[in-house]
Amino acid sequence: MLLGLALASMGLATLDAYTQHLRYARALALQFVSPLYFVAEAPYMLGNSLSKNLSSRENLLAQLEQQRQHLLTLSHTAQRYQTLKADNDRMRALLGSKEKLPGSVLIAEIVSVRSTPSAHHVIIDKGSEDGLQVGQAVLDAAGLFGQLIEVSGSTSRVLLLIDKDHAVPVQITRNGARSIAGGTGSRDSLVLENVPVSMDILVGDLLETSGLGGRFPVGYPVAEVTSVALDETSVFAEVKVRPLAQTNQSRFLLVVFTAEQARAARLEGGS
Amino acid sequence: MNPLVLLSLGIVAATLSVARLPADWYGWMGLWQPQWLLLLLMYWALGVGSRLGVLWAWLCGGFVDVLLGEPLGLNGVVFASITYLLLRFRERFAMYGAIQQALIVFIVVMLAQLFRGFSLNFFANQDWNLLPLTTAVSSALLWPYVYRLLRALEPRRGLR
Repeated sequence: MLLGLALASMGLATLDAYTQHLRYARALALQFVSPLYFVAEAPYMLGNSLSKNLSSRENLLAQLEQQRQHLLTLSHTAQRYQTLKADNDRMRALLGSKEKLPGSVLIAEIVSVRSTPSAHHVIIDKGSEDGLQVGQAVLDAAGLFGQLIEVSGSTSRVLLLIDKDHAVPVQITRNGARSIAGGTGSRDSLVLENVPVSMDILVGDLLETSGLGGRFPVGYPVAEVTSVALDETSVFAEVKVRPLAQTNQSRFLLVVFTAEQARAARLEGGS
Repeated sequence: MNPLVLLSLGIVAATLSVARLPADWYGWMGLWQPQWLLLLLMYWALGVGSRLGVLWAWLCGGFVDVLLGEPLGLNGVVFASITYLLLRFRERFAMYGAIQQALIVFIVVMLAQLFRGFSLNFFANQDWNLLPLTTAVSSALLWPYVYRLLRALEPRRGLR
């Protein structure tokens, strides 16, 4: 009996880890257990709403003022963005290349965090009912946060970009040099894999998604280079980068729909 | 034990196992989280385990896999093995004193966590860490209290 169950488990785990066949069963079970996440998170939600209700008037006013100023700066950037985008589209049209279609985003709230020293997941409160699909990119206010790896009806699991299992194709914003940023399991560093010593990369360079591989949309900020070590005996430079996303502070996340995904979600919702 | 009580205890244990620690505690307390589900499972196996058996333990493990985002079947086989072992050595375990029981709990939890660590390393590319040792220590320290608490929840029938 025990042996049979052990064999069944091994079979299941293999199927689960290397194929997609069990995705539906997992999604169903996740839907079933997801209330537990909300219960487990309840103390934080309660605390948040308490501090929201009890914070003083001066505090709120100060916060409002700060946000107003922030909004002003942002709207200034947005105005410039419009002209820049129009410019950019014209240039691209001149070059004959396809226009970069802007995606839409959906705001989701984190309802549970699972962090062991090597695994970093969070659960968010949106699922396939909101049109989410496995593989979509997830952002927070500062940069790329992770991607969806499991989607049930009303909740989904996000794999953080700092997880050891995660890697994202990136390019340097300054010169377009490409690499891959892999998670290390630690919150404040990613590692750039196989960077040749000849690559033009400097401390302070910004990395953004390159869109290669087709999973992440192009152009979202990912990380900042914190150290470049050139070892004469190696053909690769050791580059450490710091993720921009606030992986232990963000409460609200943005799930990105590329234009195609948004269209697919709309079609699904309509049918 | 009343199945409804057991189910709600299971829900409490599962909730505790996904509950998040405040960020500034995480560094030192994250490692020491007791394995509530394993403790409850061990108590259950000592009590009514003979009526429901390893298959049920395995099925419950499947839900825990999904809850924790681990490869399907991993916690199933851990749960089933623990249930099997405790069913096999139930009488002897019941004779032991609190310290001896806690020692057994330490060994069982550590083996379970080692097995999980190995499987996660194999299937999900996760690093080894200190969790098997630390969670086994905290679980073993809590066992006598958990045992007494669950015992107190037990309905009293006739002479005991």
